[in-house]
Amino acid sequence: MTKLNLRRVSVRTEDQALVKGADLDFGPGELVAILGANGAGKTTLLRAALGFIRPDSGEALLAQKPSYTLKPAERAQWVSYLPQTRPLAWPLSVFDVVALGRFAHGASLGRLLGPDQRAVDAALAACDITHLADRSTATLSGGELARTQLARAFAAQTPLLVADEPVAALDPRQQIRVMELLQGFVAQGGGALVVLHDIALAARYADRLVWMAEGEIIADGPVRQTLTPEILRRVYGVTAEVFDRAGHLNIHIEGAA
Amino acid sequence: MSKVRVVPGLIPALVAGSVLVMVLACFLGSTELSPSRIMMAFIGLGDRADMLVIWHIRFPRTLAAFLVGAALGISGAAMQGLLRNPLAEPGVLGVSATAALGATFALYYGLVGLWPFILPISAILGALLATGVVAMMAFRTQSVVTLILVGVGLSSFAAALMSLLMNLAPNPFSLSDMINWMMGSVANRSFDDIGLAAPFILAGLALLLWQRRGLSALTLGEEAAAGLGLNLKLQRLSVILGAGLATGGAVALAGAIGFVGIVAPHIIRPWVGHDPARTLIPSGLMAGMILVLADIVVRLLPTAAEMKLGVIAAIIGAPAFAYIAAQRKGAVHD
Repeated sequence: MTKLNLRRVSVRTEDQALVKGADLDFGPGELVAILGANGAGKTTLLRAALGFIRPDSGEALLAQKPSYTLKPAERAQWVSYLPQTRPLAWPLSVFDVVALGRFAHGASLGRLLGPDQRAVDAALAACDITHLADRSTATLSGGELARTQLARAFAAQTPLLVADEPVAALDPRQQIRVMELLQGFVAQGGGALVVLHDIALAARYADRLVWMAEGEIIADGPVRQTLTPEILRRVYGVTAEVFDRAGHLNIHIEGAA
Repeated sequence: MSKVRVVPGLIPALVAGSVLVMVLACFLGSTELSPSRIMMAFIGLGDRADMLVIWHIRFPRTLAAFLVGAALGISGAAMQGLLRNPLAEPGVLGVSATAALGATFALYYGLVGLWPFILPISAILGALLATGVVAMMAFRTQSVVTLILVGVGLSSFAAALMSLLMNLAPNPFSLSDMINWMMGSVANRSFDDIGLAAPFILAGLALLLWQRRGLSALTLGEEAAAGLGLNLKLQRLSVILGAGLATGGAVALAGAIGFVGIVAPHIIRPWVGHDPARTLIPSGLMAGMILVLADIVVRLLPTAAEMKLGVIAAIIGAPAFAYIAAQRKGAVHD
């Protein structure tokens, strides 16, 4: 089984520690949300986990191998990665962007082979964007673009998916659609590790919450164990009330602590 | 609703168009030759004077224009893909001017006398120096403006050094020589000249075409592309080396011809779904056609001294450059 394991991972710049001694295990069958204030080290943690940067100490393992030593093509077979949403450099069609998910399988745009074509078709259908396949990505709404990026990750058919703020700047309805797609991916045996800023959304969809503050993972566990006023105070510096509404935890932020 | 279309049969059509303009270029010239005499000369059955005109003057010149165009078109398209920016181009980024500096240095300091291949090699070293500097800047900053300013700086620096060389060279070269190198021309090129540059151009283009798939991946940004499985370092190195070889070879053959590497990919992009990888080959053919046509114009214009090919290229290309730049006001990284 493909897993991502961090053991005492630290990442430093010259004058400050971005991630301090982080331990994290993540694998198929779970949707894990990473939460933390801006600058808490969430993105750096993901980048170290995936091997884009080398940990200064500790080790990040992907499928039992130090992820920094993996060849890009090898890594891409285990995990798809959605960085914080960035505009596309060229207005490709939705189909072509999704087809880029098959890059590690050797696919060239415009000349897809059978398995690649099927994977792209399936991903388009899963994300409900088949009707947009010929559309220019320059003309999509935020929600459509988010689902296109997600379909691109699904098309890779990797066991793991790592997404950095996949619902940023989406309206509530689109946020729910994206989270449901991720949930569907996990129900089919995948594993999703997602940075989120919406605490209620994370509480509703994630199996586990990983809380970061000032480069450290200060809590990691099921929603009901880790979503507490105390954690919210430490992570975001706010006083908040946590309450149960129709089986889901929700929060009400009262003010800065 | 804007649909993305890919024009079917684009490459065969461009190949046919290229052959057509090259044949046309062989038909036109200051010496009036009837089509039948030209055809006979082409297949080796014409009289000596006709054969000389076709095989030693018109055809090599046409082939040189096409080869230079193809090199600049594909280099431009590849650099645009790597830097994710439609304004990247060997001329704008100062690569051509630096290559011309390398070439003139080799030429006027007698190095070419030692070994003829020193000419293209010096041009390529100049080109690689500039592509290297530009690429290093590009990976540090995402600002298009910064890149173009670096290109302007490199071009001015190369022009200044060339002017200095002019004064200091043991066999001083004339202002018209310098204009030849800075504006570019394919007048009086022979198959020998082509033979010196072509191996480098073809090697560079082969490298760029071999690595073109990665340019599609870069559409999503560098980090996402790496996540897709792209080896970023190899990709950068291949494009820098490939564009350096092709541009350096092209400059050794024809001097610095600007803008064609921007115009051709800009025309092609909407026809290939804006995919940088699929832009490469059609851009090469299109740029080749453009330079062959521009060279026909140069030859037919009744000017006292023949106009430079690069002048025509800039007259068409510079406004196009300004237009594309103005269109980008809403674009990403500015």
